[in-house]
Amino acid sequence: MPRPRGGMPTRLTRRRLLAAGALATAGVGVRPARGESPIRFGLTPVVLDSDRQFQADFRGALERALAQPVELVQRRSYQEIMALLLSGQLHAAWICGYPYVQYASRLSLLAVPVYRGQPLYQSYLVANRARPAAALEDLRGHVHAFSDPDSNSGYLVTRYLLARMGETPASFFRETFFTYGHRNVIRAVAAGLADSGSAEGYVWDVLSEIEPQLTQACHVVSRSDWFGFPPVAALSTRMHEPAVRGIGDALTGLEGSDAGRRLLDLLRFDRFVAVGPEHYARIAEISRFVEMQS
Amino acid sequence: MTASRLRRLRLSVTVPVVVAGLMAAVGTAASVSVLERLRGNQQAELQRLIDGIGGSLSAALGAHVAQHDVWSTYDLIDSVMAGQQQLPPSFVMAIDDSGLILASSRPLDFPVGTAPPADVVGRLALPDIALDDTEAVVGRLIPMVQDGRQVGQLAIAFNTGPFVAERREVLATLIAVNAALTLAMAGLGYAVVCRMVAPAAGFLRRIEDAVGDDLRPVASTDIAAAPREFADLYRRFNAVVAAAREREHLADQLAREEKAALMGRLAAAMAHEVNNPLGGLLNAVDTLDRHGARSDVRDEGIAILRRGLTGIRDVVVGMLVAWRRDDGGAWLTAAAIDDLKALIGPQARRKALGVDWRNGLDRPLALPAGTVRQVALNLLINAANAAPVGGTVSLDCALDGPDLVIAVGDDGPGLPAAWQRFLADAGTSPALPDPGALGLWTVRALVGREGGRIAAEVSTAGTVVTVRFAAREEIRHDAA
Repeated sequence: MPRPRGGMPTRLTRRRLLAAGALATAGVGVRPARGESPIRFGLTPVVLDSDRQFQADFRGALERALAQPVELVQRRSYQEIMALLLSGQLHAAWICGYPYVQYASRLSLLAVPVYRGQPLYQSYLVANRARPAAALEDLRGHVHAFSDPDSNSGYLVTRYLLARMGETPASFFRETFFTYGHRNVIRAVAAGLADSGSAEGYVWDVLSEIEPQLTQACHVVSRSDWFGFPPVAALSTRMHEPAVRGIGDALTGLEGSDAGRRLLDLLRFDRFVAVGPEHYARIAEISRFVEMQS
Repeated sequence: MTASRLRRLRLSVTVPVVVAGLMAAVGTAASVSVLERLRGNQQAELQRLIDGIGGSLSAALGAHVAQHDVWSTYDLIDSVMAGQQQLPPSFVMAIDDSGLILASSRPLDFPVGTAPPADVVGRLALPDIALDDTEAVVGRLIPMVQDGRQVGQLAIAFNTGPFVAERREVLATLIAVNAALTLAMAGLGYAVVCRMVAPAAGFLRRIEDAVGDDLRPVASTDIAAAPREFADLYRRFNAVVAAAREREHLADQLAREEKAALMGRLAAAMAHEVNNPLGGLLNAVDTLDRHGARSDVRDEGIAILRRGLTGIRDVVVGMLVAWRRDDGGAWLTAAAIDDLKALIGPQARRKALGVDWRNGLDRPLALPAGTVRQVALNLLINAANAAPVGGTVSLDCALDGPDLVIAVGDDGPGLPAAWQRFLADAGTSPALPDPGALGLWTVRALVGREGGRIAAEVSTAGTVVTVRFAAREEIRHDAA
């Protein structure tokens, strides 16, 4: 399979996971630990994770609920966070549905947000305003921006749609590259660096409110089917730990406090709920389809 | 403005004009120097920007370009561009090792995965960065090296528009400041020169008054109050005034003596004219006494007596005319002009001159008869002196509108040029070409006093001196 520029959309292997985990251990978290050993929580760009207000409120909510310091850990790619999570260096992480289905046998779901009444979201194909398009077919020959090789909405869905057309990103697009963030995909398309891109619908919706100058330079070409919203997951082997279980409880109980409701409002979520692995069956299905076509 | 025109201008204008010119020249030279210095500084600043931004970016982007990481390359370029608010590059472009654009600050103009425009790359490959007066895009191609291997090139370019605009702004400011300074200095120069030449203006008025025969010395109080240079000038002027007055007095005296001499010569001529025929007349009387019974002798004797007596009468008439007292404000009549014919008669006869006399004066004129007659007589005497034996002297007296025009001519060798200039120059007091010849000096003085004009025309046929008097007012007939 031709390799998009700037990324390695290959399957995670055990060896790669261990190597990435070792590298990630040397990294610096968002917040240094205090005297007590902190709960380490991994963040990925499934939400606007770089937002300072979000980081402060989210960490505050967890710390209040768990009565323990919380360290938010961020890395450039999903792959790096997954390596940390799978190697046991994180108590839990907010990951995408695609890596979840890849490691579902080792992961347990803690909570998933309810967005606009359901714990689901869509992938959007967006294009620059100067590039009129009404369907995926119109994007042929574009420079296309993906979010992350392990992102469902920012890569897998578009790759699946192309596979159904008998195409691959390399055969369909003139050029592709990864931006390692849904917001970055929209930035790239808005600036004209990419003619079109694949991004998470939730991030697009929030950006339309808080950074309309970005989304106004683009337009939505098409919206995908509904998929399970990126979940908060933990290693199944750590589910007996009170801190890990406490994270799920803290998130599902956010609507019970003012601070929690403010956090939910900030994220535009209704609440967090617990779901089963079947919630991501559709992602698993398209993932298998893509693998078979490769 | 030519140098001759500049010299003719008033000093109070010339000096400010020269000051303004010098200021403009100095201002222009200074402005050119300032602009060249500014251009050099801008060029150095541009070079520093290119080296600084381009150098750090090429180093930072090496790893991303080596990995063909479009987004990271763009993100870094974008953040650097955002930090260059004051003078951002026109564009920054990362070119990979295959010569294609990996990312640029202007993705719409330089799309990902395309070859950079050849003219842009060619322009950036030029060895020197030169700022001229037209807006342009200049920059550099900087190699990007990663792990000792060139992985691509960084193209960085700046629009010279802000530099050109800054120079234009500075130029406009220089022009405005220089113009204001030039005007201020010219105004100051005008004021200072006016103050400096004020005594000269007063002096000039005195000179102008002197042209109208009102030559007055500068008062001692004015000399004391004047600057030292002008005090010296005033003292010298007073000396000139004193000398001129003395010369005028002397000339008047000489004129009177000349007139007396003229009358003496006239009396001698008269005596000669009377005495010569007297002997013939007495002989004729004796002949008549002895042979008067003979008709032929009687007739001849009577004829001799008539001619002789007629000649004596002419001489007596001439003398009467010559000694007629100046009638002051009496009006000029045709007879007063015709009297002159008798005065010039003896001299004309002596040189056997023909007298061509035309008197067109048909009415009295409000002009001093004595002055006009003296002018005409002097011109006639001068003409008779100049005319050769057997030659011709002419007088043409005519009215030209309200003016009286008297033209006196002779067929002599021609009035010398010095005398022509002497007669024609009414505004100054030139030197007398021949100190002994006061007739024409008298003419010039009298005509000038009456506000008349003199013109001398010399040709191969001789000389015609024309005098023009303006009658002061129309004479009423009842007063005549």
